[in-house]
Amino acid sequence: MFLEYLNLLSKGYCNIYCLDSFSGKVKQKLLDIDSDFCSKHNLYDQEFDNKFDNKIFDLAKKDHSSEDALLALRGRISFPIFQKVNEIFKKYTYQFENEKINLNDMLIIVLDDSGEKYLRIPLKIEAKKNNFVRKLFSWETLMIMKENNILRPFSAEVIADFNPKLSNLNTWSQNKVKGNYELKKYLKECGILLISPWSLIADSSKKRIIISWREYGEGHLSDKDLEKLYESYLVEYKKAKQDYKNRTGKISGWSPDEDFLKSLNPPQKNTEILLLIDKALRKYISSPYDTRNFYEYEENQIENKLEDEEEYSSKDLSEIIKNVLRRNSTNIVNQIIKKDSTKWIKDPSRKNAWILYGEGLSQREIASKCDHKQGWVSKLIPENKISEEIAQESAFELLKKSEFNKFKEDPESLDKLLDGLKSYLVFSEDKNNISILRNTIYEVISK
Amino acid sequence: MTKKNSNNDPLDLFPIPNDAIYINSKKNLDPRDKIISALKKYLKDKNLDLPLGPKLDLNNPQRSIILNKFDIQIVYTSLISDVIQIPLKNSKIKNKGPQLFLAAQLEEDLDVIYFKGVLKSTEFEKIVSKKELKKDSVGIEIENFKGGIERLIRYVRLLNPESIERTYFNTAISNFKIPSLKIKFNLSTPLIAGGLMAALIGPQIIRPRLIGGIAKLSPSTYEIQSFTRSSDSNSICLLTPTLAKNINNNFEAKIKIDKPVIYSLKPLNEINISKNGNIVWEKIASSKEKINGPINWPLNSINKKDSYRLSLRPEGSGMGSKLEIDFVFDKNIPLLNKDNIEKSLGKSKSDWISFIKRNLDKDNNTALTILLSERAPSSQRIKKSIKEIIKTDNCK
Repeated sequence: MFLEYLNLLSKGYCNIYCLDSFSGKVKQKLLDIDSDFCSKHNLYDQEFDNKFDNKIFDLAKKDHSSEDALLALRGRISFPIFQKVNEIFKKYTYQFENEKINLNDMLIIVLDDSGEKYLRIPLKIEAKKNNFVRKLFSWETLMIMKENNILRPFSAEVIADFNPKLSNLNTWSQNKVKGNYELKKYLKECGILLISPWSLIADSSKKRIIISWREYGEGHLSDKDLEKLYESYLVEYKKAKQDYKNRTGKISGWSPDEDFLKSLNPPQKNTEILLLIDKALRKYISSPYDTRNFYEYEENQIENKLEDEEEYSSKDLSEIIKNVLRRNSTNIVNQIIKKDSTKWIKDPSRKNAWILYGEGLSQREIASKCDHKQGWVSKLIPENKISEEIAQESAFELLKKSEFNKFKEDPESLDKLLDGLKSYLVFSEDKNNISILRNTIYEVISK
Repeated sequence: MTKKNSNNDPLDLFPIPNDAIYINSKKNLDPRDKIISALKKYLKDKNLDLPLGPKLDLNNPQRSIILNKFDIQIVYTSLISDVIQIPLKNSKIKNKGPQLFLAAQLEEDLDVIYFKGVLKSTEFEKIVSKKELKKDSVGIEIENFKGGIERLIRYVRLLNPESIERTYFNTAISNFKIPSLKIKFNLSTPLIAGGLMAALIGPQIIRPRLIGGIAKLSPSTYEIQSFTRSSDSNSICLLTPTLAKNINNNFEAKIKIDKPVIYSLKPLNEINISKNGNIVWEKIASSKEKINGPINWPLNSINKKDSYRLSLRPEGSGMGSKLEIDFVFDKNIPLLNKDNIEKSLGKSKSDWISFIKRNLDKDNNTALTILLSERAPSSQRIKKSIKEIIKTDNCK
């Protein structure tokens, strides 16, 4: 529905999509392009077209001191940028149940061109106190900014690095969004990793490249050719990234140029095959996210490592363990609750979630009652982490006793002991079917 | 070439693990320094006062770190990588190889570090013995590292430093030679651990009654109307999936896992699967080859948006004599991912058994899918359980 809405929006060269700072909404603004230029190139009626993109791009370079062609290009790329951010937002709020992510916060980063004719750029790049100079936003200015690594707004970066031989402008713009450092930084705070096609290929093993291509590859490339291309990519990528880092001082934002593509084996004319490899990789990696892993208590089923055939009748030891566990559970849960309680005034649902957990409700039930997603609950109450912490603290105490001394010498036994303690905390239930851990949490909160 | 879901949009973003550590590092810090900063941050947050060294040479990339007297080699890769390269220099020098390998995944420009887990020297040896060794490093699948940073802390905090051997292998030989454990116990410590746990929790929890659970499973028999004179009493004895009749009086099976197993305890003449009305997989018995035993899902993962129909024709029956079953799914709950479950269960027999047992009551199809998986570890208990299934052949 939302994407349909996006498709209905006008896609021309005379408008720019930008964020309205008052309403906080995206608006379409008519660009102040010279009317003769518009008429000459039929800009008002021109719809998005790759050939036309390249024509305008060449014009912007040719008339390097004029702003009109560049302005049209800025308007042109604002749509794919807007579209890509929307896609990311819609897909990932759903996919990762992410509640932190905010569309406007993302748009501010990459949709920061409001179509102004002039720019303020620093006079001296390295000076501590910058004096700015007003410059016409032309190709000439763009190249000065590129040389000095001050490409701003984001559209300037997209256009300055664009090479029509390597990719079309639409794909290029969207890939630049994926490689944007500021956006990466923002999404990092939301617990999400934005990764460019170029890093993804370099960060994948040969095995993953081949398997993903076999399963999702859309081109005709044999395993052998793919292997050769990948191996040469790795070698050249390392060199190119190092060079880029030396030149710009940045790690993010690199994209392949013509020389890079020529250096591959076999040499590539454009980024098409690399982007298909990237696409196949993303499909392959994302397939586990299409279906879920575990629900409610299912995650615990895997953690339950208890398995034994032997009988052991030491009731005294059992009592010692139970006492140590009880004491450490109360101490650790106390600390955790105390730390989290500082956030309860701002967000009372946090307290409610802890109480509901203590009462024995499942993650899903808690999420529903607290009006949050299940991911929020699992992050707030990391049962496995809490039980591990209690188990470790208890084991630390127990291992000081002579009866437990031998566990210090054997990692496998130690693992068994700790996993057993964790299972006891999470699975052993009282008469009300409430686990020890949940019960402790309930008691601590009810105090 | 098999192509999967080629119409689905691929992901542009990937989730950063919840346990990832975020640091604010100075510019130009190398990845190893960042990882050490993250480790220090973790220790500080957890109030763990464990000595970290070598004090005068902590940032030397050639050296292992020493945490509470344990020699640990930090190995790292990016957050999205599937393989990690492990330099072998120290492991080739006697008494210099690490006791533990700590895998970190980091995004260098974002200062995000995630500790994937730990490998002990013995575990490392096992994995490497199957690999073709490069000269100075070896690539290992990142999934081999388990337990996050908590596992590292477990070991270095609770074990004696001598309890884990150093890695060592002779140069020019492609497999590792690790001396056997110095410490031998008279009484097996794992048994003590198990015993203590039995005393603590009680045998009802620690003994997964897998076989008992399997024995309780009962197949259902479905009479198939025959259109041939000779065979008028053909039936299908279906162990899984479990069927119910819908309001239109058709059979349907509620499926909860993306690659369900199909198991008819009596031989079949034909089986096929239709997707959105088209047969996408089929198997027909021949005089030489019968269709017997479990059928692990032969297609790509089920997509809930598609409709699936399973068609089974019993042995001895003619064309048209078939049992047709529509797959139905819970709209609100995504399907379990078989591959992911198996990956999470890893090679631990106890984890597999525990998972199967706990799912037997809830959804026997999920439990049996995992039990009968080709990837199930070799375990006597699993073998016995599979045998038990045949015993449950009380088809009437």
